[in-house]
Amino acid sequence: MNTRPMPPVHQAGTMPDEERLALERSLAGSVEAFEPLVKLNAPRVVRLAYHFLGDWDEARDLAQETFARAYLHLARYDARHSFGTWLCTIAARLATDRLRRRRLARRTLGEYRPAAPAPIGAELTLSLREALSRLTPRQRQAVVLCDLHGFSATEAAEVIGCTGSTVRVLRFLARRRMRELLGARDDSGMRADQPIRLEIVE
Amino acid sequence: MNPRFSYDADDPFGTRPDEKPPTGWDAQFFDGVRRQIESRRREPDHGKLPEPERQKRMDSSLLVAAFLTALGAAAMAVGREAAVTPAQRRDDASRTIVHVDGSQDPAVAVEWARLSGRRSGYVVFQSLSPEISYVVVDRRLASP
Repeated sequence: MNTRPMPPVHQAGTMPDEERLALERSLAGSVEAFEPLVKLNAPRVVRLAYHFLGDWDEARDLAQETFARAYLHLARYDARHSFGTWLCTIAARLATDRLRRRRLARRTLGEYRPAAPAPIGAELTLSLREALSRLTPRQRQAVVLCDLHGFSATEAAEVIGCTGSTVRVLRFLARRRMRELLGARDDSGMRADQPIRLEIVE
Repeated sequence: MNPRFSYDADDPFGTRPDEKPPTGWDAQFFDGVRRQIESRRREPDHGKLPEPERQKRMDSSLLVAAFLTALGAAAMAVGREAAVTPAQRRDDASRTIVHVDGSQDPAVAVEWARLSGRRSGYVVFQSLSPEISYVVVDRRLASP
């Protein structure tokens, strides 16, 4: 087993005693002891996976894979950091892999269309899922992690594998795109020159 | 923590109906986790933890960066050679000509360009592929 530690992605964690006990028992080899940790963190991980993948079934499957991999590599978890953030890091990277494979499959099948979707009519109301699906994968990573799941630019950079500056550029480009997309909503009263308001859809 | 981030443990999926998971999404959830643990346990490295993309793409990025560096340096050397006088040429020996910072995809378009102080300038190219990456060419021009 690879025992290289994950890079720190969260400030000092304050883990409740029950959670720490469950982790210790899980580390000792008890799968059953891992169940409370799964129950506690599953909604957050599923939600993150859904924001990446846009499909609940796939999000559920990816969340299960995330927990399985986390269990098998618990020795690499650094307890100074948040367990939930560590899980989200694994989930985000797995989701990115899936998005990449999905895009490659579309290319192979000749269904791929470059990221320049048709103009959106004013009558079309975009949901968060639809708007996110129109971003590039890295823009989506930056927006989902920072704007929807509370990661700092530095934390998101650890997940994405780039610098904090790149995360800020990605968020800037994503916000501009989201502003175009969500700004097309006549009923929202949003204009293209207004700051984007991601929180309105969650 | 981003001030706009809010997570309600009692309602983790928000309030919009179209952003809710189907009812019963958590039924037998842990059974699925257990099955995946058992199947991945048989894999050589237990289904290793995913690494960030940058590490996976490091090799190809370095190759492309090296290629672009060589290409940019050659182009600028040729251009400068034609433009400078023999007296100026002596001063050019230690000058940084070009610096390229990572991209694996040479299919790029200009995203924005800017000149900054002391006649140095830089251009940011945006990848044309669906996944954005950047090539930054930092060209330090000759001193006045």
